[in-house]
Amino acid sequence: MKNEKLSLFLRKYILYIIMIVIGAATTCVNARFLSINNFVNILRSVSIQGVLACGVTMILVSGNIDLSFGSMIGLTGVIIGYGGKFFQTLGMSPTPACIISILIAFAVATVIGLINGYFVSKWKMPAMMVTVATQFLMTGLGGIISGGYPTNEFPSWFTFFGKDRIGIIPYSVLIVLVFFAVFYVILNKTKFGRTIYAVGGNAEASRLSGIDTKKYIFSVYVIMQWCAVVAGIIMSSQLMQGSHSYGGSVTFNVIAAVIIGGCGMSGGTGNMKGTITGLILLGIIQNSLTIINASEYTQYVVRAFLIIFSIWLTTVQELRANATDK
Amino acid sequence: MNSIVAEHITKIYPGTIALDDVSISFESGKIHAFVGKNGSGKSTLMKIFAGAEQRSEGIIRLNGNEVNFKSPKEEFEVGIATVFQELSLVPSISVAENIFIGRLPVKANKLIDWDKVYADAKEVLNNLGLDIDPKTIVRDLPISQQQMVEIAKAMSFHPQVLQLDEPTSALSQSEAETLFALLQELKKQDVVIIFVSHRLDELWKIADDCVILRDGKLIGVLPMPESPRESVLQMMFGNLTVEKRPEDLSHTDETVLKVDHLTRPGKFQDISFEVKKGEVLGIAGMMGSGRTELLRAIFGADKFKSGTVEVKGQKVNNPTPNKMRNLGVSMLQEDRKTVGIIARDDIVMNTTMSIIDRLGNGIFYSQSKAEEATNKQVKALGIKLADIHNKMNSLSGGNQQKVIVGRWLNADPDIIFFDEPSRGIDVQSKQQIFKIIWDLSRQGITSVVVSSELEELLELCTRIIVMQQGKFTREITGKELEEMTIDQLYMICMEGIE
Repeated sequence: MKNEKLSLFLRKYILYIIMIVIGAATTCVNARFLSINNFVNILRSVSIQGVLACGVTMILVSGNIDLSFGSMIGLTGVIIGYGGKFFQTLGMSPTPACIISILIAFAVATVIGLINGYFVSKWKMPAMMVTVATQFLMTGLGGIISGGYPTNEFPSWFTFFGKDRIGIIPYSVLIVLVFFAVFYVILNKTKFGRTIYAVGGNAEASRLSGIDTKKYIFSVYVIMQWCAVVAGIIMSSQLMQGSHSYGGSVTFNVIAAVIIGGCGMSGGTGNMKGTITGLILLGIIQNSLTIINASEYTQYVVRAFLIIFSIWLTTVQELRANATDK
Repeated sequence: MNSIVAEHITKIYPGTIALDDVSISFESGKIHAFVGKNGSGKSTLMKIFAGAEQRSEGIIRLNGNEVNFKSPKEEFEVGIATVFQELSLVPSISVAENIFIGRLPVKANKLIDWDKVYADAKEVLNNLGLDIDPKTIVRDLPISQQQMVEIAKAMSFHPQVLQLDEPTSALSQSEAETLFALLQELKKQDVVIIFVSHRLDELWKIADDCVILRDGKLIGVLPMPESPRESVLQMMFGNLTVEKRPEDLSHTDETVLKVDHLTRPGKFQDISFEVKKGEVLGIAGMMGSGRTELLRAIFGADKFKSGTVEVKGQKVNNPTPNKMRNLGVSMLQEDRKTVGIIARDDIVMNTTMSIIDRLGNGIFYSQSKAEEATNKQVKALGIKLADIHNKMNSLSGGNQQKVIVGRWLNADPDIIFFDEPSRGIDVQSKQQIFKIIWDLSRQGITSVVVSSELEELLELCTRIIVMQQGKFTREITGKELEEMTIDQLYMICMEGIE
């Protein structure tokens, strides 16, 4: 019984414990870790992933998966850069040209989300393969539009999303905090979010309980792509450059963070609190390893262990629950 | 001559006695049929012979020697082969591989000897007079031929005993005839043949004797085909008295559901009926009669080809469960575990998932309203639970069923479809569900009930429609329903199936 309680405690707080241990260890090596500047840094470093993680959490809760959003990031930069250039050749001034291009990026994202949702919900095709296909589609489109060359045709105020700060806080950090708050409210306090949990828990039971499940699957795929557009805007603003090749590598980092945060792959479980914890934990690890001058590849190894460990935790929980069932 | 003997076999499951001191012997050269209604213990006895279930007490002797096996694999080695109702073939590989799965012959270099696989399979099939190419992928064969392959696989072990669990349930009449011819052939090969069937007509065509079980007890063995039908039915059902439904049930003349010429090819054809407000309508029929498919199509869970559905005078184009819910129609699914519940979520979610869009203002969801709606149903339906925030799978089957009834009552329906409402729940919960259905009727809420337990329909319903092979064949109502006995209804459902 005592063991049971201990393991329950560990499962609940393990991520926080790891965070504190890593933080304490890094502080011993370099006290700079504990500075406010460093915390802002950590948040800034996870802002792009954070925006994406909101959409990924919703997708996973709904019992689906999306591997295509990474290439929407690059496509967004290309659309805004080359779109802005194109509209300027039509005689528009840079600012309206940029804003129209951003709207076009959202429109394209909507279409891609609908395509994903259509094949997954209407034809019951495996979401993983459908979204791998649309991922290639978007990378290809970005490359065709740009001819493979990066663009830096952004108006000067475009630094706002990725570079500019209010005091010491970058606007990108504010954007991600707003995303966290909005998605927390959607998933926990709205009928839409509650329905996503039902659909993810058992899609067929939900359908037979009168829920129009297709509508919700379409919605989560579109929302996912919208998140990717926002992430794309932040990334091209940080770099003041857009290329079809940006963003592809972020996909699995984000999915890893969400899963480390306790979101199951089979739907109906997970929440924003876990996702935020997972993200910040990964941010801290990355930051600590940088401070102690460890290589980027060390981070990969650490991430590998964390993913296996957190999936193991949830699986053990489920196995135990099933065992007490029978 | 081979024989298998059961001596004082008892099988106890928690809460029920599935077999109660059954002693019986079977010998080769005869085809023995097991009959009994659902839950009589016939499948359990077969599983105990097969080693798939362990007996609680008693002895099984094969040719005089006591046998004790812990797994179905040993059973094959001992010489008892069983073909279960659900086919156990792997659809994506060939007939020959299926027959020798797990024991494919190998050459000296440890690679599979494919020539031998196909030659041996061909021999097995030929011995049974089957003209099936052993290289055929199983998926490409019709169900009847798959059934034959399954029997060929069983026979490839050269068993002394061959058991068949409802082998004809998926077969057409002519396919069943082919199977019977095969069984007649096997009869000559010194094999004990035991055969479970719910198609009573078959017994007179194929069986040499008929073993009747009821409530886990052996009632008797009748020689076939000379025993009259009435004796078999009498022994199957005993003096089963059907509980009386309350006297005060009535209904108005208002039609709440009208189904017109509804057709889904291969499942049901040209179905038309009306249901009145407050009625409790039963749809009776054997497995495969299309009763569940009909309800699902009306509810919009499956598509249908032609015909119309009208709810409260309003025609519904392309019904979906979502549209039907909005019109006040609900449906309790047959398969509670897989498509009824969210096992990992809590009781609140499971009780309110039909009405999430009605809980709270605007886009916002109100957890307190959800809890209120849950508590209301917990109280109204007498659901036994510790805490409404516990996981759904912490509840017993009966209480889960009530949660789903509660989920639909929350949707404020005018009509509820119950597909096998008593499946997997205890007797007490069953009576409570019946009482709920009657109470709903008194409030003017209509129920349409499908059940494979005919005595349930007799007890529960104020009108019964009989379905056979996708068609309505008979309507039983009023005085005729009052005087109907369970074996009469059974005969009506069975008769004329060709």
